[in-house]
Amino acid sequence: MNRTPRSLAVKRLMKEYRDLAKNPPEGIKAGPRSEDDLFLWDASISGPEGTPFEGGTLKAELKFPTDYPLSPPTMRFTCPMFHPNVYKNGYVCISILHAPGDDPHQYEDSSERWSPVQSVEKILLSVLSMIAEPNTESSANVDASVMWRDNREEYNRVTRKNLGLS
Amino acid sequence: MPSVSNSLDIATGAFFPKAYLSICRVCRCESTPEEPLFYPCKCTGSIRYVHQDCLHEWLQRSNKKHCELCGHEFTLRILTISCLWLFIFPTIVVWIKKFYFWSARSMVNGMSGSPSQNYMETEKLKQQITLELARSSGTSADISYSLPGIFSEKIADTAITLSVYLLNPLMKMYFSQEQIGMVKQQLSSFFDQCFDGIFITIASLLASIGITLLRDWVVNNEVLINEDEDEEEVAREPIIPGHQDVQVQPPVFNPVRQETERVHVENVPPDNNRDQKLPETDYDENGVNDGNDYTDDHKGKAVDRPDDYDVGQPVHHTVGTSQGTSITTNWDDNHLNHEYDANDEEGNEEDNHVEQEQQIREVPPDFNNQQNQDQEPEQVQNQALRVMIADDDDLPAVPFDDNAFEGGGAENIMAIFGFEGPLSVVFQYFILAISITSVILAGCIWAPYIVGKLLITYNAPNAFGAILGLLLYILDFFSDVVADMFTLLWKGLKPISSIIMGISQPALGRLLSIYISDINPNDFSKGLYEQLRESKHLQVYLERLSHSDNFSFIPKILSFVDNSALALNTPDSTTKNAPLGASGILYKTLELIGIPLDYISLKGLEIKYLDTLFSRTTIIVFGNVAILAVFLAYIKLARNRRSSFFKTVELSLSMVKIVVFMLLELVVFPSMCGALFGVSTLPLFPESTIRSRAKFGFANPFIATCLYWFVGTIFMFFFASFVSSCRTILRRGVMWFIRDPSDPHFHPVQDIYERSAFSQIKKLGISALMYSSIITLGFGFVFWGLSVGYQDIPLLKWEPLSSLPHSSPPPAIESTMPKAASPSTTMDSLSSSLISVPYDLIILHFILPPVVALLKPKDICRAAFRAWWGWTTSRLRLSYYFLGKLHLSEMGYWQRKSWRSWLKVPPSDTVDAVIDAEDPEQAEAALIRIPFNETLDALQEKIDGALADNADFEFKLDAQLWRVPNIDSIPVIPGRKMLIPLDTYGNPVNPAHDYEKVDRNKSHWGNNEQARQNHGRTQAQIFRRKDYKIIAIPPKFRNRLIAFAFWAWFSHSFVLTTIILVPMKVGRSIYSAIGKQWDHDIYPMFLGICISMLAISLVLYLYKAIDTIRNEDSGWTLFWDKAAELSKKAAKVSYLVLLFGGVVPLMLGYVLELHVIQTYRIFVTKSYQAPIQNSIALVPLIHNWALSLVWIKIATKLMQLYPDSYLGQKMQNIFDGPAENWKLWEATKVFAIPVLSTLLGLVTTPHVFQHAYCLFSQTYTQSASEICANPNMLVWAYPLTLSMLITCAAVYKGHQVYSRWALAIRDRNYLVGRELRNFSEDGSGAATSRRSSITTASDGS
Repeated sequence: MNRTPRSLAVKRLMKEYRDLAKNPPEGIKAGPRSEDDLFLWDASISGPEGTPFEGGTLKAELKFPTDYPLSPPTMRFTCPMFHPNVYKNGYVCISILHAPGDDPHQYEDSSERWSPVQSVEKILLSVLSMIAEPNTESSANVDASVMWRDNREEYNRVTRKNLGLS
Repeated sequence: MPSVSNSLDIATGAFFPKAYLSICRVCRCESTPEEPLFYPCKCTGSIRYVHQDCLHEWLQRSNKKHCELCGHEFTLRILTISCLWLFIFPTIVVWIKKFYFWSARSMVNGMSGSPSQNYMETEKLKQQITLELARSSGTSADISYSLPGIFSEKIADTAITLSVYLLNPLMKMYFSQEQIGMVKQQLSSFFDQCFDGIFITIASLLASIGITLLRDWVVNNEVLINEDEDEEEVAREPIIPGHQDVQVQPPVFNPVRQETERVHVENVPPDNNRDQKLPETDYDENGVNDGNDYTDDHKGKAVDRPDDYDVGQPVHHTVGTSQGTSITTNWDDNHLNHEYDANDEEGNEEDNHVEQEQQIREVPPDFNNQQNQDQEPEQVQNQALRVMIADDDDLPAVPFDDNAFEGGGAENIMAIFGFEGPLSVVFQYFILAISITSVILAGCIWAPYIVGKLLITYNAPNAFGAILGLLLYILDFFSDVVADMFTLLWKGLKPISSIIMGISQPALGRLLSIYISDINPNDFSKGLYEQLRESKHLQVYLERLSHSDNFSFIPKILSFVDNSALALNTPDSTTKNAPLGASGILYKTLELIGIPLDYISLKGLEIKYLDTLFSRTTIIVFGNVAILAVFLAYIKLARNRRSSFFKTVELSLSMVKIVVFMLLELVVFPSMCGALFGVSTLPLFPESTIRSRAKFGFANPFIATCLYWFVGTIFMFFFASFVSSCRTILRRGVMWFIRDPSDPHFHPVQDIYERSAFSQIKKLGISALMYSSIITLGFGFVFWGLSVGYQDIPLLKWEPLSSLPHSSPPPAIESTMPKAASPSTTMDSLSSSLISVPYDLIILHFILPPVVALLKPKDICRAAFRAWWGWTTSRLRLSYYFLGKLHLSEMGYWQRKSWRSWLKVPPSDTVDAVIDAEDPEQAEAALIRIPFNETLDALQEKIDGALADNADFEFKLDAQLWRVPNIDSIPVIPGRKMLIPLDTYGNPVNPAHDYEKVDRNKSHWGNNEQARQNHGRTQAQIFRRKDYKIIAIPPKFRNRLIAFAFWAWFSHSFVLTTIILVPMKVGRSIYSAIGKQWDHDIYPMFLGICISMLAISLVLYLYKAIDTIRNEDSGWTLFWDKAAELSKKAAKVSYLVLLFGGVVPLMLGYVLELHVIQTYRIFVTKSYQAPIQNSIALVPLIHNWALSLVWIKIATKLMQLYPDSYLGQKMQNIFDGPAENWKLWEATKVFAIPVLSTLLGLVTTPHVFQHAYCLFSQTYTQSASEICANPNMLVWAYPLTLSMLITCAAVYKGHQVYSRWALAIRDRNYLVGRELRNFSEDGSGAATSRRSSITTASDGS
């Protein structure tokens, strides 16, 4: 019966890792960087087809708080990303990763935000769809947002260049 | 915990057959027995389920009450559960109760013949009795009987009224007035039932818990019995295996024992027959005597137990005690635990523990086998017994009781009441609780009711009454003879007696008039006897009696009285001179001291025919007593004493014994003491007689008993504290005859259990005698004596003293007991104020505490008490005995050699100095030496030497040796003396008193009967040398003790008289000096007390001051320094007093008057006009000031109570240390200024408002000036402002509290202690169908 947040988090992360390893979703791989620290994960997303990211592999790291799943993890792309919803330092800005308490912009519906129902798999799937369909209403990278809206060609070019796909 | 989990496991397992699908949406774990999964919202699929704890944590984190995905509010179950336990359960209980009573009545009716025949008659009779009861007692008597019922009605009424008020508009819309009334009535009766049921449930639960604990205690009691601190005594009794054999084979006749018995009888002196024997012989006894019973069996074993056995652990004993006896107790424990297991569903931890213990335990193999075999039948019987107990009516096997006490704790209780765990479990518990309650009710109410009702219907008491009547008849005859002789004697002695009467008449008449209200003291010349005869009560009674029916049993007794009294009443002159019969006198005395026999007989009729609470209770008690009597007879007559039924009966009887004696000691005894005390203090209360007291008691038995009990308990408490303060002064062992409650070996319940009922009653009787003699001699005698000496003594009097009780006939019901008094007259005199200035309040709150703190009356009293002891004991030459202080000068007497010596004080110091020892122990060692006569001779020589040059005095030693108790907790053995004179060699003068020798001789064999009577407490009660002490006491010890007792009584009476008389006289003289009439004697007395205390303190202070000034060289400079310091202090204090005792309270009082009291007047007493106009001008300032002073005091106390609060800290900071260090400015700034400004604001704001309103309205209307001219305007302004302020504050505070509460609810308490309920939109069917769709559901909500 002794439930510390940390033990809960470890249990849950193990479970999620096992589930992900057992039947991984298409184009997504994720797992702890090392067996010792379950709270730091590496993830790789293969660029979805029909987007400038097609063919590339996007590497990211996920940091889990000790009270996961009550608090959301943070996700940061380790590869250079030029995307309206990714900050320049690589952090992903997506509603599913926002804790329900801190709402900086007050425009996200609470059902879109983090809840323990979400999981790593769902985060990564959301990120996948975000990559394909950027949300320019809440842009983390204004340059990318503007470029995506006004100059799609240039945006594609920069993206592909970033990924080394030319 | 495990119990809940198990049941939950079952429940959840049924719900979720496919475990892999159902995982918690937070932690992704499956359902476990500890943590079942719930589906509390509309979400389905993989996120359907959640653990309660996980959800709780998440909700706590997210500050939500609803699901973040589907938005559904999580459902709680709290309402249903409280409904279940607060309403449904009690209602069922009430109906069970009703059923029981109905069935019992119909059964009795069926048994006692056809009820239909005389139905009409009985109905008529019932009506008559009801009418009669109402006439004779009024309504007050009923209230006292059915206090809980009244209480419940009140609560229900309040609840109903409240809800009706709240819903009034709605109800008016839909219902007519009558409908509302009906609903109200129904609801109130429903609430009444619920309350009744809750009351019954709680009572029965508490009773069952108490009975269970008591039973455990009794069963485990043999563990406690072996409580013995004396090691050497016990250690020499090893366990002899052979004895075990004897025990196992009951029929073996032991010839050796018989022999020893004979020897014993020959040897023992007669007064030692009641002595005890050592335990091992108990085994012989148990084996041989078929009369040994269950408890003795256990007792024997317990005594036989090894002595390193740890007594303090009733359940888990020391592991590895190598003797077989430890097995005995462990077996017992096993039983206990197994029993619990059988009751509880879960495997308890204790079980494991015991098993481990069994494994660990080292038992010598040869011993083990035999022992186990020996214990086998015992065990079976024990088990049978316990099964019996479990099935027995009054000992229900209540699982959760045991559970709650044995280790379940709060969580289990929560589970029981359904705050945890699924509903099915709650229902299980619910059903269980109902069955338990019904079983308890059946055992405790139903069966006794039937028995009691049957007995009463068959007129069992009438048989008793007939016997009593016969006795009275016989008594009548003899008393007639005696009275005839007395009349003859009286005629012969008449001349002498008339002289005596003439002298003693006034005093005696007064005394009797206090005693008996009917006797007119002025008419006393007629003689008491004639007055008694002419008493009109008798006539009234006879009239009543002739109309009373034959069913009543008490009139039947008194029909004999009837005959004799009728004979008395005939106008024939010859019979008029004939004396009353004894029963007539008995009746008259009873009637005259206020015991209304006809009322009692009426109550008897009520018991028989009516169905009131009183009759029910009486019948049930009666039935219980009858059942117990049958049980007792069974115990005495039963052949088969080994049967389990016998043991059950015996166990329950011993429990009843404990309960009864505890009741006697805790309730009846103090009540009796209180009643006696009340009678003793009667003279202090004017207009109260024994008769009026008794009347009050019969009219309100409940209240009277409570009052008397309260008074008696207080008296006993004070007496106990007095005794304990005596103990601190006295030598240990002097107070051996009063049990010391702080004695660690004193176990009252065990004492009750072990002693036989007879010796228990004897003990009670002795203590009753002691207490009653203390009360009557110490208080009654003094007060009655005072009342004879001083006619104006009555103290607690609600009328001016001018009307003495002589002149005005006292009202039938006394006024000192306000509840009994007729409300119309006496309540007014009580509620009307006696004084115009509340100086009692001020004195009580502000003058008395500092005086008490300064004077320390407790210390003075203690010092005086000590001084009294020292003086008295030295006069009586008993200070060595009483105080343990050895003075050689008290060990002899002075012989005067010359006439001049009468003018001188004997040189005691010289004699004391002969034993040259600083240490009291050394002095004792020097004196108490054997042979004592040689020691005395040597000392006498020394004294003679020391006093050789004293021409006036000669000192002769004449001390004797005595053996006295040395400890207060010495075991008192009946028939043995405690104070034993010794000869010069330290042996008792009377060889029969040599108990040591007796015990030594008897230690190897003994008196079985005695051992059984004392239940094996032989070891504790044997003579032990170290309990006693040899001291030297002057001759004629007994006379000295008697003189001491008399002197003690005299000084006590003197002090009591002084305490009452002196302050009263002083106060009265002051009053009459001022020229005022006092309203109440308590005021002069109060004033007198204060003035005497002040006088004493002044004298003491002056004495001290003069002493210091005289003793020191720089006395005067010191005095001036001190005076300067004092004046500085006084200036500071007076400033504070002026500020906080003058200005602030005045202001506060003014505000209170304006805002509160006037509002009260306007709205409550509805006196709009006159008082207000006057009171604005004439504010009763002093009253308000005094009241505000008390408010300020309360506020200060509150601040002291919470020193961590802001104001408390400030106050500590400001008033730190002595008065010189107090920070005046700080005090003014922090307390005075804000308070004063607030008050000022409160005074002025309404004015301002009023003016503003006037100005505002003047601009618009013409008539506004008239409004403003009306002084009532101002009067209304204050309450309006106040209510506005209060509303604002309430709204603000309410908002604050609400938001905090809402936060707290969300943050912490949201789900704590509550159960999630599985979501279902339309009942369980939907939930089931939904379950099947789990497999197809996918992510999302």
